[in-house]
Amino acid sequence: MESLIFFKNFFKAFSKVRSLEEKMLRIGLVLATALILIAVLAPYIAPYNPIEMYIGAPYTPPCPQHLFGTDSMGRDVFSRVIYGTRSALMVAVISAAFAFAIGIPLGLISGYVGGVFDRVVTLIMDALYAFPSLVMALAIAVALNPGGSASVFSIILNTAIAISVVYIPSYFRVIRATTLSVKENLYVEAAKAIGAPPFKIVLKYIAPNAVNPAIPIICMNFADAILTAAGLSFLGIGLPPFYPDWGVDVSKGWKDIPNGVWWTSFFPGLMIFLATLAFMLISDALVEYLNPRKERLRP
Amino acid sequence: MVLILLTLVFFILRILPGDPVRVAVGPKLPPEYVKKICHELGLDKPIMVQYFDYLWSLLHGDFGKSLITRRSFANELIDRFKASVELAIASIIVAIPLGLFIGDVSAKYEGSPLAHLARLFTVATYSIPVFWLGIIFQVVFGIWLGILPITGGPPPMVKYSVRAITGFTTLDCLLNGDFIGFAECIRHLILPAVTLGVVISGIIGKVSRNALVEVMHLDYVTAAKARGLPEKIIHDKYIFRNALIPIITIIGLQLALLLGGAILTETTFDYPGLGTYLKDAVLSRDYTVVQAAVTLYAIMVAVISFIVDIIYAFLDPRIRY
Repeated sequence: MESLIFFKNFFKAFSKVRSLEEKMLRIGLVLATALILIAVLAPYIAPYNPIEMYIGAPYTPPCPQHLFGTDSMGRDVFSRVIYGTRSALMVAVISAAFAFAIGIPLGLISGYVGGVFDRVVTLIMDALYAFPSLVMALAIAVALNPGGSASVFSIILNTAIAISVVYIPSYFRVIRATTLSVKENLYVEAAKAIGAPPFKIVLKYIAPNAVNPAIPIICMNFADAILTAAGLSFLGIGLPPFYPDWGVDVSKGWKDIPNGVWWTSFFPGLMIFLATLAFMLISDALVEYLNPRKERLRP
Repeated sequence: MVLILLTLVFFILRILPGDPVRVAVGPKLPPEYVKKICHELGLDKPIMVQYFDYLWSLLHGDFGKSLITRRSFANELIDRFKASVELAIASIIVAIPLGLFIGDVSAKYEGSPLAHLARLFTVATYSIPVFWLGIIFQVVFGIWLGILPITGGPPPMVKYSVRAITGFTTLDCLLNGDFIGFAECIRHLILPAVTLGVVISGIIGKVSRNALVEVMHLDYVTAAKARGLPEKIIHDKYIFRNALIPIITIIGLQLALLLGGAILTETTFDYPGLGTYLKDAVLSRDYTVVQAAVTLYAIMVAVISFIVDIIYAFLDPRIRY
């Protein structure tokens, strides 16, 4: 039932009444859709090959031929920024999928089973949660990427895994907490009474009523994944320097700053910001929607 | 808590693939030599023995030897840590007033454009890549306006000329009466501190808004309003004081994070803190240094949550330990 109410509220965002949340949701959705389109249609939008060198003179400031200028190798920054959307979204999708697929079942089982298993898993998750996420992602990413001749896709995959490890506890905590309250419901007891196996109870009776709070977390996971992946490539872990990626480009462009060349780092950074902002806006608005207290507070 | 973190780090670093000694000494060394180094560092013992050796030496305040230089690095670590503490304090000084102001505005004028602006600010600061914000500040204040230096951290000339009393360069300058050096240190601190402060103020703003809004709708606040108490007293004594607990919690958490080293900000500003040290150690797979840095972090978290717990008792007389 809760998901019905959720979807009703979700579509209310497109009706006439507009609160701040609704505006935030709209802007976020528009930005996110635009990003996905850019990623899919990158070859048609980008005017040049993102890795071809000396398309223009090195360090050409933004001009009509090169909207965002060119970098130290004469590559078109605009084309690189467009292609960079692909790796960013790829990391986000893969890491969210991993964290979702592990965090949610773990939370459900831990909350339902309880006992020693629950205690141990919660303890590990709390420790993971308290750990500074970037350091954790950094350590795992370095360990998974031994350097050398790894393919670009495997590097992206490894980065995504590193980020998902950091995010599993967020799903786990929320899902475990709702599972604990959902399993007290009468219908769960009824299901137990008619002899439904535990597996079925968790899957059919608890899961549909407990996963709602995970929805804003997915969006936040997306946003954080983009930000963390950019941070990792900024620190020089992961993607090779020629590959069009926002974090990589910022870290390279950052070295041009003392020479007064700002466009090689500004535009990729702006894209990181906008991409993260898109999913943060959606997440923030959804949190308010799903907040049951909010209905009471509203006049 | 500290023990769990340490154990986790120890095993994660060892279970993950990659031979640390091979990386440290280079791939071309003959295997006998690698074995010798392993033996020297005690890495050829069973993993459980290594684990207890590690805990035992930690209890003696011994962080072990760096895998790369094979020397003790405790002094370097403490030095970096002190630099990070300076940065952490400076940025929290920026973050707290800004964050509280943002939270207060968005709670007090709920529904007005001003509050919406404050809300958007919190979302934006969360989404902004901190290294990019730092770069923008560097470009604007360091290069275009030319009023602030683009690197952070005390300039080496000041750092090595001033007589060390506490090891905190900024404080040492002040204690030695070297006001030019002090001003120079502060000038180098401003950009990284503001960068970090702005990012953190968003989180503080968000939490304080939620806390204030929650308290604002409680019955005793309505009652106080009905009794005709002045707005300021209601706000300061009735609302703010009762909303302080989650706010203090988030500030404590953020401070602990900062003390553990703000890797991205420190990298952007070439700041010689724990963050850059940790980054270099992770990149070169110097496991013992990573462990030591994480240990320091875990202790910081424990100490700060202890202090926060004490502050709780001061704020809320109902809390007794």
